[in-house]
Parts: sequence; C-alpha cells; structure tokens
Amino acid sequence: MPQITELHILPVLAVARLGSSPDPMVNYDAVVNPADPLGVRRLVGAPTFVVHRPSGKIRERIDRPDVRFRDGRGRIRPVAPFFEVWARVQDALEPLTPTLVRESGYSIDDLSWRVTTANLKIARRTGERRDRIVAHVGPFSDHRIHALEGECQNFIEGRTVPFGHVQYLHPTDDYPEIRLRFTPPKGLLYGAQTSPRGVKAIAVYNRRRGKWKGFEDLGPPAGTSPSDTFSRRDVDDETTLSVGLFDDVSDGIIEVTLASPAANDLRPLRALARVVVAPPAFAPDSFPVRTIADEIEQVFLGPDLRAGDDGADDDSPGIAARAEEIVRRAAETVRLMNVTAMNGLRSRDATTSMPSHDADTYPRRYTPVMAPALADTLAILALHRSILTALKSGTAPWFTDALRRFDEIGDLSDVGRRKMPALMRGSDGRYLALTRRQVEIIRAAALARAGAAAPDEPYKP
Amino acid sequence: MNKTPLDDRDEKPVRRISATNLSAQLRYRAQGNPPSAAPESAPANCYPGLVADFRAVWRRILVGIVLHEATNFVVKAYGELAPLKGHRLLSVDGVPLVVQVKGPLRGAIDDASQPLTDGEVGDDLVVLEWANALAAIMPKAGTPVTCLFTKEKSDDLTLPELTEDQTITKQLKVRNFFERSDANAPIRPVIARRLAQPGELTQGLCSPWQSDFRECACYYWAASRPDYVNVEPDVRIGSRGHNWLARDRSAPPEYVLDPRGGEDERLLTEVELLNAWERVLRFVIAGNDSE
Repeated sequence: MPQITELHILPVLAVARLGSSPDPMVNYDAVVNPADPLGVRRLVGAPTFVVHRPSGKIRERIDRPDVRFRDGRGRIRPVAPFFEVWARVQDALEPLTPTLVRESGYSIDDLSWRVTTANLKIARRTGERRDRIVAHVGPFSDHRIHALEGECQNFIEGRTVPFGHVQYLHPTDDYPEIRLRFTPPKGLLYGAQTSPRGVKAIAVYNRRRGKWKGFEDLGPPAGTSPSDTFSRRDVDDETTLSVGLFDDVSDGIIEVTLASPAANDLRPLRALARVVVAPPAFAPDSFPVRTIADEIEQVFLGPDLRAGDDGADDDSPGIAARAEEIVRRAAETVRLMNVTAMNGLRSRDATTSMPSHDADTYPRRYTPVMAPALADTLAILALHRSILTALKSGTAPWFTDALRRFDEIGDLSDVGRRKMPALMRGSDGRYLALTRRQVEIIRAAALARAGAAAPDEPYKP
Repeated sequence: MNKTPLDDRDEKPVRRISATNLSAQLRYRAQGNPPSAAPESAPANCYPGLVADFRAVWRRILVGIVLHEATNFVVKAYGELAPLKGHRLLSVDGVPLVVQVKGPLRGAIDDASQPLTDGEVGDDLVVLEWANALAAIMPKAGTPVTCLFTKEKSDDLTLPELTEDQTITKQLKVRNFFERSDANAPIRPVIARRLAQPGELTQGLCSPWQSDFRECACYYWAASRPDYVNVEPDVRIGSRGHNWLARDRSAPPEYVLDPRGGEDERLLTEVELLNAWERVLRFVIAGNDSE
C-alpha cells in the first residue's frame, strides 16, 4: 500500500485574470524563436480543458485551440487557473487520483476544499477591520460551483461583491487527477451610494457606516507608500479625498484536506496554495524582468549560486538559458516602453519620466538619464541584442559591472542611473535592481562563456 | 526552438517531481494553465502595482513585530517587544536596511555626487527592498538574529550608523517563509500562511486598479500595461509609435505625451477606464494592436 506522507497543491501560486466572458482563456505557449532570441514570442495554442460546468467533469481536451483573448461578443476571456493536488509518496510528488487515494487507505469522500479570498485595499488605508471584504467557502467535497461572495461589515445590508467562483472538478477515467478551478470575477467597479459624476459604479458601500468615501490618506509613516493610490478628487491644493471606489480583485488561500474519520492510523493531510486576482496581461507575449517567481526562488535557493545550480543535475534550464531569459524579459519591457520619454525630455513638465521622479522626490538636478540621441526604443532594443550576443560569445565579462546592485539604488549620479536595468523602478521607488540571484546568474553566464572557471565562491560585492 | 518555462510545447504531462526540487514545484505549470497564470507573469517591482504588492510578504518576517510593507517602520509589536511600535528597524544581522541617496544637487555648480537633501531629517535616505536586503538571512529561519532599532519612536528615516546609546538591540527570530506540513518536514515553496493573510498580497495596490493604469504614468510593467505600441523605425528620431492609451490609433503613429498634472483629450480618461476598461483597452501582440 503506497503511503502518502504529504499533500501539495500545484501551482503553489497562480494568477487569475479578470474578464467578463463566460468562456475562460484557452491555454497557449509563448514560444521563442532560437534564430531571433530577442524577437517576439509566438503564441501557440496548447492543450486546453473544456469543463462541463453542471457536472464539473472535463468534457474534452482541445490540443491546438485558437489563441483569442476575447469571445465573439468582444468580452475578455478570464484566466481561470487549475490547481492540482499532488501526493508525496516516498521521495517524489505524483498527481493525486481517486485510485491513489483508495490505495493509500483513504476514501475519496475524505477529501475537502476550503477557499478564502479577500480585498483589503480599503481596510489597509482606513485601518478599519469593518472595511475588510472577505469571501469564504468550504469545507466542500462536491463538484458544484461555489460562489465567492465578498462580505463586508460596512456594506449596505445584504450587498456583496462577487469575487468569482471555484469548482472541484469531478475526476474521470480520462482525467483522473484531482483538481480545482478558480474562476475570477468580471472586473466590475463598486462604490458608495452615490458615485462621482459620470462614473458607473455598483453601490454596495454604506458611506454612513464606513469612511472610505471622503477618506484622506494617512500619509507617512503608517500610510501606504506611495500615498494617495486610490481614485480621488482634489478639494484644494493640499487635500485630496477618496471618491469611495473599489474593485473586485482579491488574493487568497486555497486549502485541501484529506482526513479519514474512520481510520485512526491515517493522519490528516493538508496543503495550501495562493491565488491572486489581477487585471489581464495586455501584452501576453511579454513578461516582466523581475517577477514574483524570481523573488520566491531567491528565498529558498539564496542569493548566491552554488554547485549544481547549472541545471546539470536535473532537467532545469542551465545558467546560460536563464541569463538569456532575463535579458529577453528586459528587452520585452523596453520594446513596449517609450524610452525617449522615460529618459527625460528637455522640459521636465512635458511628461512623467525617471528624471522627473528623481527631481520630484529629491533636490536632484533634472537631466536626462542617457544622452537623448541614444535614447530611443529601437536603439535600446538593439543594444539588448548586442548584450545577448556578447554574453553568448564570451565577450561580455564587463557586463556584470553595468548591472545595478541592490544596495546601489541610492546612487542617482549620472553613472549610477545608467546602470541596468535602466529607466525602470523597483518597489522601493528607486531605480530597479534585479534580484541578487538574477545578477549572479548573469555574472556566471558571462564568466563561463568568457572561459573563466565557474565561480567556486559566491560573488561578494 | 528554445525551451523556456513559459513554453511547454509537446511536453507530456509531468507525472513526477522530486520532493526536494523546489524550483520545479514553484515553476510547475498545471495542465491547461496559460503562461499568464504563472508567477513568472507577475512583476515583483509593483509600485503600487498590478498583480500583487509583494513587499507585503515581508511584514511579519521577524517574530514579534509587523513592519510597514515599504519602509522600516514598526507598525505593530507584541509581548515584550510592544514598546518597539513606532520605532525604526535599522539593520538585521548586520545588514543595513537604509542607504543614502546621492547625486548632483539642483543648482550646484558642479556634477559632484552629494546627499540629496532639502535639509529635513532623513529626506535623503531610502529603505532597501526587503527581498534583496533580507535574502542572506533567510537560511536562518527559526533562529534569532540581531536587530538594531532606533532608541526612540521615529517618523523619519535614519542611517544605521548611530551611537550605541541611540539604538536598541534585540534578538528576533526569523519566521519561516514557507509552509511545511510539520516542524520536521521539508519546506515547500508556498508562502507561509502566517506571513500573509488572504487579501494582504493585494492590499497595497491601487483602489480601484483602473486608476493606476491611468495615473501612474510608469511604463516598465509593459507586459501588463504596455505604453509604446505599433512602433515603426524612423530615420529622423529613431522610432515612432502610439501611446497605448491614445483614443485614436488609426492614424500614422504619433506618440501623445501624457502631460504631468493635466489631461490631453487624445488620451483615454480615468472615467473611461473605470466605466469601460474591458472595451477600451486593447491587447498588444508582437508590439502591435491586436484584439
């Protein structure tokens, strides 16, 4: 009898994306052309499950669907991720199926789900617990659709905000894996009893109970940073007030439990995963240069590279492939960004730019980051191609010195601002630094290709 | 064709993952999930963001205190640490959390890099991002590390180089970042429940998110919110293209600047995004307007 020692939910974190179409977004791959590694990725339809909602069963698998982001009526298709349950048996994880459940001594009826999601944007700002909007379903073991209704003490009596729904899919002979699907909401706008002129918001917030409408930001040190990150109106030169609007995005926790009430020798098994609801990715063939995955990976692998991190011990991408992916993502951001504008125009007031951020936050002289003649999107894109070529050919050991270290973000000298990634901000509001591990990956790739020995000792700045 | 984590073409479904291969678990793409569902599609440098305010996961990384998501301000403190509420955390395990901002001063006669201050306490300082600043202490999860705080409550930033009588030193335990099924089990790459409650990963984002699309005027989240589209080479200025928020993109590309502190009627307004974002925002494929 196989012994399950742990349960896991994979993916451990998934992004669900808003859209009002009843038809979820199909699956696709973002394919890189090796002949043009910094060219645009091609979107190719990939195996997509069609779910029969009344039964919760996967009705069919379409192997090469058309990649369309809107349905026939122009509505955006929501990204509705699947979460699979995996079981640890000995030293490996494998998909949990009803057969494995039974063979391990449990019953499929012993499996249940709980999901909690919340929108705390208002509560974060007002500091009021009564402003927390929370939805909870479970435990449930059936295959019906369970709506996530966001409830809030400061709502008008009986009103809720739909946060989407979840469904535990019915395992079948063809698709026996145990999985749950999270479907996000439509992306609707909510507010108090009266909305600003011209704004169509669904009235759910009781402005007599809560203070979100008319709220003035707390400011530092306890308020959000940056401050005033909400829809607002100016009262005078000093004061801006919230107009009381909010959205239906949320994040939350999905939990699965396998607990046998009958067999005392079987210990209860639990796992959880995270879901985040977000707007659509409007340029789906592009990806950000520094991602949540990079940050999580840095926590468990550390900021330095070590033996075995070259991918030789498993089937993970090697250092060179990962360095190439980082440069590719930087190029994908540059491609869709007006570099000339972000570099700073002659007039500080012409538009928002990195130099205007610098001069607004600090008494720094307003000057463009790079020589304006060089700062063009296509020119900088070409520079990325040169960098990638140099990395691959071993002529770029200098490149690591051009990367911004995480503790150099305060360097707003001309040289400091030109380090890479250029013209992007980190979450600290200053010029973006890659994760320390990303910097190490590029350094290792540059040195290895240059013929230097792989670093025995972690790089210490 | 190169293979990337976002490209699973022709792969048979994965049936087995090593229990110790956390990267494979983190980057596992469930059957049927498009790349835009993966954590690789979520920018970590959100400010104030699109997918998650990932700064929030670090707020409870030290047992006994809750930090502000963006700064070293102690928002809450418990038990014998309660008096630390309102103080500033200056360093962790010897790693300074605050650095000075330097550059050429406005009005200075030379380009010398110097502290960028208007003369107010701490206005030339910045707090490092938690993810990078604390990366080296994460292997110490479960053990105490030396934490240096300001001696007094402080609304202002200060550098860690204070004298001993200006600081308080405490030993605080580093909280486990990841879930584990029990104390002896190996970690799994799931952000621990105790680090972030439901709603806390998005609580710092703009409310509603549409306002940020219009107002932030920051264009380095191009994967989610493109800026410069339908770009063509131009022999005179290098390139020309449309502003993604331009209402009319049928004319030859001419970028409409987003004026600071004002509006240009050729660009979509916040009200239009609030009321009809799904209709007026367009997907961009290969750099060009698509659906």
